[in-house]
Amino acid sequence: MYSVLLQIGIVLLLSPFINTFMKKLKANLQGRQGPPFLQGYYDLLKYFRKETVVSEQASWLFGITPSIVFASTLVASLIIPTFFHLPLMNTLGGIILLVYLFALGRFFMVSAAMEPGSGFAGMAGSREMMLAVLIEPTFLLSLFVFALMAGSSNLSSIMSWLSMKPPMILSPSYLVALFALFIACLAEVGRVPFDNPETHYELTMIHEGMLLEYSGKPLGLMIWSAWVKQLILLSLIAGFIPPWQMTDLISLPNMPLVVGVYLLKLLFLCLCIVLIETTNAKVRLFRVQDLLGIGFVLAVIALILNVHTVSGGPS
Amino acid sequence: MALFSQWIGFLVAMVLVSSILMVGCRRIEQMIRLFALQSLGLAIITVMSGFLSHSQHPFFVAGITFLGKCILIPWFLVFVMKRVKMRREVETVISLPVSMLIAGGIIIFSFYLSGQLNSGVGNLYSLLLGLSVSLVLIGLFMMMTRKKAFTEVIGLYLMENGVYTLTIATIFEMPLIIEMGIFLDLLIGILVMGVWVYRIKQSFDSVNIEALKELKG
Repeated sequence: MYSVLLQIGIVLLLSPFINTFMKKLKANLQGRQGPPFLQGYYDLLKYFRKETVVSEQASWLFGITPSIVFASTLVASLIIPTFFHLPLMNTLGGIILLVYLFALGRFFMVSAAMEPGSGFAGMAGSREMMLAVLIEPTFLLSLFVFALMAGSSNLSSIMSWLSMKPPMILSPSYLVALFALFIACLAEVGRVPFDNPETHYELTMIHEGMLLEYSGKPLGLMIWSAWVKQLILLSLIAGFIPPWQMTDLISLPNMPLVVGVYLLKLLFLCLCIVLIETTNAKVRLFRVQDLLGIGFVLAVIALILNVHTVSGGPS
Repeated sequence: MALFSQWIGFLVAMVLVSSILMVGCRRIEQMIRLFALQSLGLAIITVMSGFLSHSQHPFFVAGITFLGKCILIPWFLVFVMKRVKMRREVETVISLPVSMLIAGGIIIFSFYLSGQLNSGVGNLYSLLLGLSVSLVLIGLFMMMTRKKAFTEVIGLYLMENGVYTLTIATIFEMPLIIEMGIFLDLLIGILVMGVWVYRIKQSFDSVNIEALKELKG
């Protein structure tokens, strides 16, 4: 029970910071100063103090969506370990549940975007659905590669299988799958090659476009859940990159080490994403399928290589 | 020993990914850069196989590969491309996502094939065998579906990389003289093909090979 509360506390409190940190890093790389490190928290405070304005055309769906999105993201955060095992995950956790929790949130978000009759929000919703159709197979397939290796679709078993392995398992299928997973995660959180989180130009934005009609507390919830989603997907990738000394080692004396390694991995991933964002432009919407197609083919190759190396016997 | 096998596995993955990206990329410079990267991966695989087989010969081969395929050939391709002044977009007969899916299918097929072929040999060699067959087939596929003479040349070199991988996977001890001959061939080949692309551009005002059909009229 405590671990559940701890996990929720960590993702809720860390996620605004990680988002601001990425913004700051990106700004510094581009020679700008960037927001202060606590900007994410200030933003949330501001949203939660503002008045909520709801369109007259909107029905109950519009009102209920932020809570559903927030709740489904929080439940998803219980499946992905940050730096300790969650006992809940052993019964609940599965890759497929994770993907469909995201799908649930996305379904409600898109429905709510279509609801108040704003043209831009509806357009953004249809784009989001197009992306979702392309992301899901890549995401699932690349996770299935890890599941096949570990022999379980349970994320905590996969993680503990990984931590039992020697630090160098540079098996080709593992790396290719990790690459595919990274592409899928970038698309899922809407970072640069797919969607620009900083633009507010109605014709190009995807995620921000769906939130156009929201204001006040509901807007705060939606943005917060997007940040939480970003953090947990980063933790998911962080769990798959070495060193894996996180989950099984947890005890009081080891605590600083484990937390430190986790934070370092997050830092590394943030740096990768920021570098990608500063060196690449957002691709045109109709080229997104090329990128995600690469991800999908890579995931398929990883699956094949995995089956191949298993059937070929030990090297 | 096991460490080398792991690294070779890693490099095989890198080469495979680069070949998929070559099928999927839209700009020709990017394609050339990926080709250089891929050849670098193959050169490192050769060095490691040299350590594995305890002979000095692969080191020479790796050196020549590095010089030729990572530096000379890409440099010359970029040089010709600047001379020809063509549009840098890749034009294809079938769309890029579909061709990537087909390339994925090719890779599946060739790994299935190499899994069927060797039952007694080690895992590493079957990995390299699958890699070589898929590189040859992907190169052929690229030559078939790309419209520009330039990308055909790159497809041909992709096929050559496949054959090269096959020699690493099967016979480590190819006589050095043959190896040198192949590289000379490649270098002359790229020169001839560079001139060829330039001539096509001169006569037809385009490097699109579909223009070649108009020879009859």
